[in-house]
Amino acid sequence: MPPGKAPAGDGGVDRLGDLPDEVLQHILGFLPAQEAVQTCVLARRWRHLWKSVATLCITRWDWKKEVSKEKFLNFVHSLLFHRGRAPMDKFDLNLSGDTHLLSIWFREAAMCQARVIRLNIINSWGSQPELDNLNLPVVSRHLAKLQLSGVKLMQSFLNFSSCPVLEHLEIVHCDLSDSNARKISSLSLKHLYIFRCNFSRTFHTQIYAPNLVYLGLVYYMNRTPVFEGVPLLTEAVVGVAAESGDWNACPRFDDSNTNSCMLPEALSQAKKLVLEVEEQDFNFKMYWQHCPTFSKLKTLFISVCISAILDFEGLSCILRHSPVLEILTLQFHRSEFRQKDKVEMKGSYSRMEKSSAISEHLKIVAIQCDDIDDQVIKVLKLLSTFSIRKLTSNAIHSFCIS
Amino acid sequence: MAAAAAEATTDGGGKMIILISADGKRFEVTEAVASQSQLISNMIEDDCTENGVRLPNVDGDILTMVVDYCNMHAGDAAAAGDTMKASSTEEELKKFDAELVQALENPVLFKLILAANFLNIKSLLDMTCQRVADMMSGKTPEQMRETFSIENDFTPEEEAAIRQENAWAFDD
Repeated sequence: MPPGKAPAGDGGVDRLGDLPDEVLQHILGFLPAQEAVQTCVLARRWRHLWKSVATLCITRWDWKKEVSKEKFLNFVHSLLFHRGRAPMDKFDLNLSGDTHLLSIWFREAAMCQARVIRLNIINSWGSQPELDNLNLPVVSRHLAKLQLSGVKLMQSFLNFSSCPVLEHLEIVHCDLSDSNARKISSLSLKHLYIFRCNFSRTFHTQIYAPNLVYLGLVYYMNRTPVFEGVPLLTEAVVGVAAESGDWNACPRFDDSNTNSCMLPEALSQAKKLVLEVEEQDFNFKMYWQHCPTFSKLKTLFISVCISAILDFEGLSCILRHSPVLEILTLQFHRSEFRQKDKVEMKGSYSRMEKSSAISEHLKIVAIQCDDIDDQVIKVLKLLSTFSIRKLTSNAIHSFCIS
Repeated sequence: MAAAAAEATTDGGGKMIILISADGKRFEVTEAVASQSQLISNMIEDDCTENGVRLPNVDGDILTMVVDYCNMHAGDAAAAGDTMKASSTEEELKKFDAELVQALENPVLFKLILAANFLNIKSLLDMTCQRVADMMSGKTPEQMRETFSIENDFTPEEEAAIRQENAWAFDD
């Protein structure tokens, strides 16, 4: 249909302008914020529509390179203050470099009742902008999901006790080592994902989230956080990197109160556990010296980078303490961003030679790797001590260890 | 709870309800399919779908598309707990959705948006609004007016003044 010549049809809706304001605002929410504001010059009706758009997606990379950083920061600031306190659903900010205005913008979004806030700051380590809430806990009756990337979390920012509907928290590439931000606390939190964050070298960050169902604690640096009871935790992903503090040594645990437990104990109620090891001796026998019983663990997935060394005592310790384990997968790979494994072996527990040391419910054992090297052979031997013998492979028809 | 679940699976989705378009076309769908519309879901809860649900501002042609969409996505909600099942149909759904919105002429797209808004089907509303936003993105105001038949009722002076007022949002 040629533009400008839309004939009136039976429904009476032929042009964009026939849609009600609320729908137009919903459409503007799918545009980058700058383009949404620029619709103010289209026609009278559009002049103020942008002010009530509930989804704000602001991305530095959407802007032309030649536009200065100052111009961009001024845009974010002007947008928030010109729109005023119109209710917000989602505030999604992506920028690079430092800005002292970040905390103000976060507060403004929270004041506008944002349900989802995402701050994604690309910066070099050690110079992340600080996120502080005037040394007060964050207060929002609406905030349900918070995603923070590339910031330093200060003071009381991690106290979410006044965010009663916050269920989902993601902290990525953040600095959590501020000595005044020792505790992440939330009664409502169900899903917590911490990826490549920097904890303190001197204290254990405490996590108080009694309703947590999912925990991701992947490739963190320095001290492992401690937990104040996570009885509902059913699924966890734990990734250990070279800098993951106390995995190689018996953790000192003198600086926390007695209500807290260490990571293994926190994981002991999980039904599904993923352990990822990156360039590190996977030596958790010290950490696991009081290995808890994983009384509900049904699925265990262990992924080991080929340069890491698997701690067999640790592995056998977990297997011996998982009485209801059903599925065990071991993956050996070369790098974090891996391609599909070349070799996949599947085996099962031989009921003929029952081993009392391992779960009798074990149904599937799978090994995924690029090559069958010494480490893989060692694992196969270990499994054979548990009477897991016959493995079939896509590369080799049958693989028997005796 | 268990009894309700058993009943729902006996004839592939439980009770049927009738949707009636503005031009009198009738569509028989399961409650599970229809309740993707928050409006109808509320009506089911209030027990007022007995004599069919009249939708006086949705044409038959549009309602056909809405029902197709809901039928296609009904498994979605049901399989939410079953990640294996959901992921196997995910690609098909994406393809179906993409084809649905890509093919539409603007007036039909706008009618579908209005229907999704009225029936309160969030995923359909989001998908169709996203399509309009994609058509707007990257266009100058003049190109936007042309694409969407928006009449510029500003005088050149007024337009310049508004641009000046919001200069922080313009690159130049």
